[in-house]
Amino acid sequence: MGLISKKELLQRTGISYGQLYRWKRERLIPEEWFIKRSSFTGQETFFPEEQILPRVESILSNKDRYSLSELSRMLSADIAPGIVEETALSGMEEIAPEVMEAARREKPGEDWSLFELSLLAAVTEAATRLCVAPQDLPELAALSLSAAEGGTLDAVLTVFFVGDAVHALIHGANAPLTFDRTIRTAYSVSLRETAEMLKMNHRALFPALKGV
Amino acid sequence: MKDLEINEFGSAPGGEYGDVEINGIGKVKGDLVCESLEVNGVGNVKGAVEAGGDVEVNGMLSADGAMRAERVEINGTMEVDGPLACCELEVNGALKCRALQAAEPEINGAISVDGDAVFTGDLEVDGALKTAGDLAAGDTEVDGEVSVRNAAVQAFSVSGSMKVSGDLTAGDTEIDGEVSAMNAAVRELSVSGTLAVSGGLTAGDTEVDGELSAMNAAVQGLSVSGTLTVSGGLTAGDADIDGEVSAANAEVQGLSVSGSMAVSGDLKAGDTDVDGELSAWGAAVRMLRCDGAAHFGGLTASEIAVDGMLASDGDIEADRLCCDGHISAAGQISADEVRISGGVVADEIVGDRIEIGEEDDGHTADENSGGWHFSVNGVQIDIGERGNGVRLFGRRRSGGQNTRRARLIEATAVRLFGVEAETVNGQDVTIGPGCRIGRVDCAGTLTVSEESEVREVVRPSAQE
Repeated sequence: MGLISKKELLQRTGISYGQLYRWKRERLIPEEWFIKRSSFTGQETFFPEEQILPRVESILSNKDRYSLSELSRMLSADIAPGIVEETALSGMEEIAPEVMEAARREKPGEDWSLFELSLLAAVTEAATRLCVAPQDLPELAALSLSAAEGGTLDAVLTVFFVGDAVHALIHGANAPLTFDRTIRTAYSVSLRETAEMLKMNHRALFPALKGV
Repeated sequence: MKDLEINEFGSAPGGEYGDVEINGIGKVKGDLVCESLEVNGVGNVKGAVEAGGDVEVNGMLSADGAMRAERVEINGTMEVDGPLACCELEVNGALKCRALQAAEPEINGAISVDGDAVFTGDLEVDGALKTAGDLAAGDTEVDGEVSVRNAAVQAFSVSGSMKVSGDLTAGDTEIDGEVSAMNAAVRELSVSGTLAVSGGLTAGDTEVDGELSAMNAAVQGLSVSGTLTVSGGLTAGDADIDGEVSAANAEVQGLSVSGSMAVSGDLKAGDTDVDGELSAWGAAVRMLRCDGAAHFGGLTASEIAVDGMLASDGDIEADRLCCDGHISAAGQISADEVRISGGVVADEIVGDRIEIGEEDDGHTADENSGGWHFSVNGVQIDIGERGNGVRLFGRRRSGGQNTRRARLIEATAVRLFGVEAETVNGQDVTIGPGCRIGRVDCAGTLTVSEESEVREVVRPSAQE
């Protein structure tokens, strides 16, 4: 994971210290993204580059249209996680049709939580990256749902192959996995980031966004 | 109809009589229907009693069945092995019955009921009332002792003691004596005695001059000059705390604490005024004005004004923070606008505009130095704009009330006077007199007083 220092972040995005800390207070930037490392000048703060840069960009591009607390509801997966009705799901292209079908077989006729939708979208993304064959997708979706019982968004989905068999693992965000050498291909997706992306892309589906 | 009178030992068959009087030891061997019944000796009715008028017991009366009467007066003792129903009831002696129904009782003696007691009118207990079942009454005044399972009464006033093993439901309630209940739901509540609720309490406006304890409490306006102890969650409208309050969690609207309030978990409040002492683990309030002492595990507020002492074991977050008193935070103080003229000790102070100390915190000593230019690490620093004389470290204190120290101070605009910091980062930075700074990283305008010590300055040009 690439890190970017606070100073560099400010230089590259043109935001001020005041904005950075205001957004942190509004929970627009998660506290976990402020990573403190000791350096020769004492202590310095770094950010996960792949996460902070798009986040700052989306705040900057939306901040004139929405209030900070509205933005916070839109961007933060912790606030008002939505329940989406089954019927509203048809247009969610982040979830492959095979994955959605398998999920419906697992949980027929029920509504979907943001967590479950994020998991299904994460499965889709990982499967795409790892070129999982379409006929293996239903199995992978079912496996992931079975591993996700009672899970939270503070988790990562890792998909990997053992031989030709595809497997799913759900684990804590702060617990990177180390595989033995027989596992060659693995791909991890953060559920929180997936959730935040879903919320941004499908504002109309999530109750927190009504009236925005 | 003939009257019946038993003066010595005697017995009579059951049946209908006019006035019945037992002065000796008498027995009625069946159900008794009469105009009136008076027992001055010892009477026993082997059945039910129905009196069109009064039943008066000055001696002892026992009935093996139910009793109905217009009026019952007990100066001696009466035991009814069935339900007792009457309009007027006066108990100066002792009454025991299976169930009791009366309109307006007067209880100076003792009543014990195996089942429920229902009083259709007002209830006044100067003596003792004990029911294994439920109590229902109109306006109720307890000067004596009452013990019941559940109680549903209208206006309720207790100067004696009342034990409710189940639920208490009442109208406006005033407690000078002692009351305990498992759960209580009352309208307005005033406790100058003691109220102990082992479960949940719901009340309208509540005033506690005495002691009130509950597992959970949800009240409207709350005013405490006595003691309120809530082992679980406290929910209140505007709360005025002159006395002592403790709770595991609390959610109140306006909060004013001139006494002391301790919340071991989370506190959520609207505008909060602290003249006394307030502590909470996590606090989220609207505007905090602290003239007294407040101590939190972490604090989030929209505005903070401190004249007294504010301490946080974690972070302090606000839109605006203004401090004439003293603030300490083990973590980060973060606000858009920080103005501290008092003291501050924190790990980090960050935000948009930060001003710590006041311009006259350094003393003007002499005017012999005209230059406000000097260099640090070969970088020329221009401080010419404030050529009004040189200040010495006149009022730098350490460890005292006005210590101003942080590891990191970082904001878009930073102005410091009499501050010690390891690192100061900002777009525009003014280091006034009396500061000791390890490293200043400033991209915009930098002004450094000659009477401050800055070990290292980082400018954009110096980085290349």
